[in-house]
Amino acid sequence: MTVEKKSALRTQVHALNSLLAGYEPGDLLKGVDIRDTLSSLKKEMESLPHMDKLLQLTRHLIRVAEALADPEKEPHAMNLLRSTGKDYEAFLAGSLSAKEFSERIRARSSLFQQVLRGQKEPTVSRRDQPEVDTESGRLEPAETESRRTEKGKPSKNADGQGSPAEVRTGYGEGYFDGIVEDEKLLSQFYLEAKEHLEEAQSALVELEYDPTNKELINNLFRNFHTIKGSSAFLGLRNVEELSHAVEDLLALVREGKIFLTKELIDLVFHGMEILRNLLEGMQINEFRPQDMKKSFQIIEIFPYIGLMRRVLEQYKYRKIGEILAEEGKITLQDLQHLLKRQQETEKKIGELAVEEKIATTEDVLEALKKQKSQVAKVKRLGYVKVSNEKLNTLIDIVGELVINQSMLKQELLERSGVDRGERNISQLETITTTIKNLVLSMGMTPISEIFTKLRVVARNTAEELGKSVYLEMRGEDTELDRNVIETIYDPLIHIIRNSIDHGIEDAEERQRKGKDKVGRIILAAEHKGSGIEIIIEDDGKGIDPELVKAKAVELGLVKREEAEELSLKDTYGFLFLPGFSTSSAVTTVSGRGVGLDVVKKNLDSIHGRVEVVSEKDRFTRFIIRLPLTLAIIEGFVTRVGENKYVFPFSAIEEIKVIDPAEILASENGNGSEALIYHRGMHIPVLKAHKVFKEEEKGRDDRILSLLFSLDQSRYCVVVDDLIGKQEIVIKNLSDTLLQECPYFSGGTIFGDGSIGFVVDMQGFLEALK
Amino acid sequence: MSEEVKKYLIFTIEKESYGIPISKVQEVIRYMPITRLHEASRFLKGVVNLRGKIIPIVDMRLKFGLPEKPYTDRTVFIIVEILGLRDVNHIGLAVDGVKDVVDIPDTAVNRTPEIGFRFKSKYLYGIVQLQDTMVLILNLDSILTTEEVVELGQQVQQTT
Amino acid sequence: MKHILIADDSDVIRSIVEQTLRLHKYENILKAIDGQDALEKAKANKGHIALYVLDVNMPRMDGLTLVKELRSFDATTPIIMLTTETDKSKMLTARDYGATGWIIKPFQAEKFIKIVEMYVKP
Repeated sequence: MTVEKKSALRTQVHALNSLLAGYEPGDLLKGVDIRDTLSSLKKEMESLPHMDKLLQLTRHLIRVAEALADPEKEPHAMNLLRSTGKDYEAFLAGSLSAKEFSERIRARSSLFQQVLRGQKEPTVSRRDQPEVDTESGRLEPAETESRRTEKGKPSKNADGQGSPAEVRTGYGEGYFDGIVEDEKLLSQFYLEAKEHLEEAQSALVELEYDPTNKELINNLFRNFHTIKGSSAFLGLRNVEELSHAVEDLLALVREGKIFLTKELIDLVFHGMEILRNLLEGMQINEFRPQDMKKSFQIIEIFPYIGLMRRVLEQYKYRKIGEILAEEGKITLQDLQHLLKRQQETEKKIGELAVEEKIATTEDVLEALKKQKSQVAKVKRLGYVKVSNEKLNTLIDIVGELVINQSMLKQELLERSGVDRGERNISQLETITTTIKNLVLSMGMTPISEIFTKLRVVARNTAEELGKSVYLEMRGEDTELDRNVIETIYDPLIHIIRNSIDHGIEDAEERQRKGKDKVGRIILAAEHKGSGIEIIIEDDGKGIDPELVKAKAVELGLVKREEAEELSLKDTYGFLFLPGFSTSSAVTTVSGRGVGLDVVKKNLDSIHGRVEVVSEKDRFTRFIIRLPLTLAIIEGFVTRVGENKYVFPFSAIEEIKVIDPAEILASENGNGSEALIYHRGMHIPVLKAHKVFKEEEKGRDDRILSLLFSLDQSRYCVVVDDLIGKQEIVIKNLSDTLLQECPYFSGGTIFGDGSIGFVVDMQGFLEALK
Repeated sequence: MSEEVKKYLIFTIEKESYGIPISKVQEVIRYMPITRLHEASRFLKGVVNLRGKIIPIVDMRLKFGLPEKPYTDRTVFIIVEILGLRDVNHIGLAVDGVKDVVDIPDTAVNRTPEIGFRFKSKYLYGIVQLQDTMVLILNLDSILTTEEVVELGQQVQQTT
Repeated sequence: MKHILIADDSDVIRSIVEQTLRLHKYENILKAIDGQDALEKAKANKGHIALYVLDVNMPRMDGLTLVKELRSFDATTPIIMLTTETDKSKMLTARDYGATGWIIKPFQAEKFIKIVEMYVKP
């Protein structure tokens, strides 16, 4: 036997043995695999000399493998296959002599007879011939097999270490290669899946009110289960994986392992939305796989699957037996055995495991400990409802606490030499800060709360307009103040509707432009500096700045010759002026904006800003910047004229004391009167007095200023006195006042009862223009 | 038809009497020092700290286009609630003095007063004759949400 | 000629199974859209069924119950369950109830036919 041939045999025997090891009673597919492997082993042997005996044995084994299909014979057949398989391996490895081998086989002869009795002679089935049935082969995805083996594990991986970092992003190459080229079947699937989604939708809506309704949960589960099953057949891997993820969750719900919370319902809704997008991606391309693939590429499923996994991870806790099996303390067969015993004896698995000496007491105790910590985790996710009012009061009171503490600190520090006092006060400070952060976080809500609703809005709008749009979300976990969230909901709806209505072109036009037929809108939230940035971007036709300028000239907002010199930012700024964007010319031609002024107004009320960036035929991006919370900020207190003004500390780079000699004459007259040259930069010097209309009677020898860094520009803001850094509890200034003074974001009350004004830097700079 | 009677707070500016529904009034406080705002429009004088809340003070004399008068001990701030963009706003109205709280039946309010009529009637809800005084019932929300001076007084003066 | 009874609530899976069988010259096929339907058809064709191919998750009557019901009047006809990775754990029970074996979806048509051939020839 050549070395090569021998190693080929060994590889096959090895493959056979791992198949045998993984076989579970009744697994018909594996049964076929085992038979097929034996057949090819047989073929291999036929090509080799001096293999007659082994060949004969292998022929018998093929018949034994066929007996696996009969439940009566299955256990014996499996025993024979496993033991003989091991002997094959040992023999080929040289650790078992030919003599020993045949002795072992002889010892099993009665078993062989028993199994083979009544079993047909090994017929060379036509299936054994290396023929390729193109007709049937057409029906299934090319790599079903490898996928299945790969798929059997993830749930276990996720349970064990389950690092969410493993979640893939993007579809790998060839991911969609398995899609069946059968438009009829695909459209049939489309209809079926749509129906299931509709059913699921109504079940979910009902479940929101009746989250423990078994029947509804079962129906819901079946919907996803069926979609998963069918899509797998058609090679729609993305649909399959996505519905699988949802199904996994619902399976746990069905088993009563987790409770269907509002959060989870939203999560399922989210999944359905992506599924709908995928289905649309099929229909819009008339079920031509090549075109479908293109649409599929842009619809991400893995972030969702990852999210789902993380959620399940949090919710799930496992049974002792499962933990033991996962840790490798007992085998799966042991577990099955124990489960069976449990039904008979009604004892606990752990008890049984110890009793039957399958696991040690230590192992069971260890597993119990693990389970406890998981249960605790699950329990910790419980919620208490608190009214908004109480929460706001609490936030207010904590604010007062913060103020009082800083006063106390001030007072104590002034009485010098009180070391112990100082230590105590810093301890108090730590506690207050902890309480403050905790309370503030209670008022925080993940933005997913409205993102979920926006998904429905987008979907309905797209449906209304007969467009196909995929809404991609990022950063749903980003948390921000509940009050802020409430206020941005309407503006976001507005912008999204606009994007779909005026931004996204219809499918034909998109195709002409070489874009994917499915329009794409990105809705993203992320922390930026001390605030939050929300982006709504569509890949539609964009806004032509020239048209905006022309419109502005027409409306007399700007002179024709000045229009030429407008920056893009200023140009797009016109869109937010009342009455501007409602003009039909702009709406139809450039595709934007009914009532963007309302959007701006809403955002203004919570000191948010909005900005547009666009490129013709490529994208339109709305950037909304919001304060994280309205309650407490780190502020730098100053005095200007007769009042105290608080500047946001986060924007301050340094305190700069300016020597009058440093001041250079202004280069141009655009608002800044003076410049200094500092650290290699020319920095404008702005007098706060000018904005606040405070009287200027500053000293001439040293000018106190704060150096700000904003949007990559630097400014020195001159004030009269620097009082210091403090935690500032922001109090609402009434709208009446904010309308008058847009450069304030709020007010604050100091320990002595005096009032200070909190400055909004953006507004401050605008006021200087 | 049952007659609806509402309570009104009557205050004075110069010699005129004005009424606002008591339901809009949160409280009436005595004059307290104002943290002045210089930028603000003429009638927005500044803010006061009312038990931890910052309340802007609108000088009603200025709002009505009357000459400014220094505040005295008799000056009072009427703290009213008006509906703002996001929630209820509290605003203090600086007035010369508060007279009374009276019950006025809806039917007694003359909704189409036969006076001047160059002024914007949206600021005026109606006029009531109480014994020998004429009381102008104000439409507070529109007065306080506008940025302009409400030239109500002048109009009334012309007619009296 | 005996029949093969397919019970699955998914039209797609029913079509695929049917197509696959027809391609391999299995002509007599009965189809049921849920568990109850399957049970009724099985009873109506008692003695004329050579193989059952049953989905596990079906409305009206799930596959496991169906196996139990079928076995109450038909002890011998092979029953193949179509299951999924998720429901694999149920297969122990299915076998206890009398199912012959199970196949995890999705499967290759070729393998499916090999399995069917073990129980019934076209």
